[in-house]
Amino acid sequence: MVKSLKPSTLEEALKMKTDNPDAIIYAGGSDLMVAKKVSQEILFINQLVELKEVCEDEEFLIIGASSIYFDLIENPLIPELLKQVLKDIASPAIRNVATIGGNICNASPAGDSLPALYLFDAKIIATSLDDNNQISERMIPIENFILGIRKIDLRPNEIVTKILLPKDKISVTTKMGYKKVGARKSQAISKLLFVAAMNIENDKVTDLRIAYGSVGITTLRRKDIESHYIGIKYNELLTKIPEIIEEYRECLHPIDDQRSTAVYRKKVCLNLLEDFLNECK
Amino acid sequence: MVEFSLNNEKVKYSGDPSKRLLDVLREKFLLTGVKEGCGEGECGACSVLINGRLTNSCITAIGSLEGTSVITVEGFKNTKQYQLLEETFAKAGAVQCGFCTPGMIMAAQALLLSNAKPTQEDIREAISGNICRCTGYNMIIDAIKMAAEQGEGLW
Repeated sequence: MVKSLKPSTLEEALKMKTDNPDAIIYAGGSDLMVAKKVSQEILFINQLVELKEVCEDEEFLIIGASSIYFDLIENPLIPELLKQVLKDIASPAIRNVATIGGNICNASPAGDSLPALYLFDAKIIATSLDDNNQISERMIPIENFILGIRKIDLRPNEIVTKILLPKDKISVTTKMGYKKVGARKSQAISKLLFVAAMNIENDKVTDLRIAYGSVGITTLRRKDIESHYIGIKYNELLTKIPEIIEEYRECLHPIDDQRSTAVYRKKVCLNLLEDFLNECK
Repeated sequence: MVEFSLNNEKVKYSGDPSKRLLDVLREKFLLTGVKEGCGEGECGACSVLINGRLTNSCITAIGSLEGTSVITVEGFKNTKQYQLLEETFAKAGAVQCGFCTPGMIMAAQALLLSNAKPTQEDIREAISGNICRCTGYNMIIDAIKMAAEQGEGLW
């Protein structure tokens, strides 16, 4: 029979993970129970309140990895764009259990919170106990943490405990764009998901970020393309829209699958980008 | 071993912690109001309330429930709120084959507990994870609206 590990503190959970490196971590269960993964041990972290805290320091908004979508949607500290994304995931019953850390660690190409987290330059905190039983944290940028389809940079003795959002990336003065395209409003796995951010100061583009989900193995974000257009006048950017569209046309490689076609996905991705760029006036 | 409250009674379960709450409810506790539709959290036929929140019992591992309160449609049955919902579901013609109904009732209860005066949009949102293949939803929405209107002070 499967062994149940029920820690009452984070430290205990880390000790259990060190002793049982193959244990499956159960946070919300909504992906895990569908995937029907098997292991000899399940580590239930769903009741660890330490992993559900949301707070901030000078530099970061700090989101506990086991924070449930429903609670994040209700939390005034969470950026509006992320709330919108979370509200559009699955159904009320799923949003009542699913966790943000779970969405990250599941590393699905269609994980809907991921493009927003890439947009915010999220950092993942992987925590473990070191040889002296001291808590040790590793900070990994999300784009390095997610390695591929269901592949993440998490060691067997580690648990993802926090997600950090740099405060300068969630500034309220930045214009945000978001669109999820799915077959219906609820319970839809995205055909594609688009998020973007632009900040204009004195007619000058001071920030531009663009990310796409469900159109590649991992979220697509091209900081190199973005950087070409930071520092120019917004009116100049408007004249460069065809060029920007061309750059993204070349790097977007969606696939045909049961949910959509490559042609449709690419076309809609580029249209959404064009609309966003035009509407940032 | 997991100890939790089931329909307001303390219960214990000492079997496989990875077992689905749905199976434990139906097989061990013989609560067959919870139905299995899709088995992957898409259809809502297995909906229960866990600590007052609507949850799919088919994707809840029994081992995760330590210290929680689980309410199934059977536990909800002897309340005035249920009686009103039963009445309005009948009046509005919100039940045909009945397979989705226990889940719909639990979704309606979860909504009304947090929002006693829901708009039509709120109701649609609240039952958006519950699939009904008979009614086309409008009668269910009418039934929940009716219950909210007639249930002054119940929620």
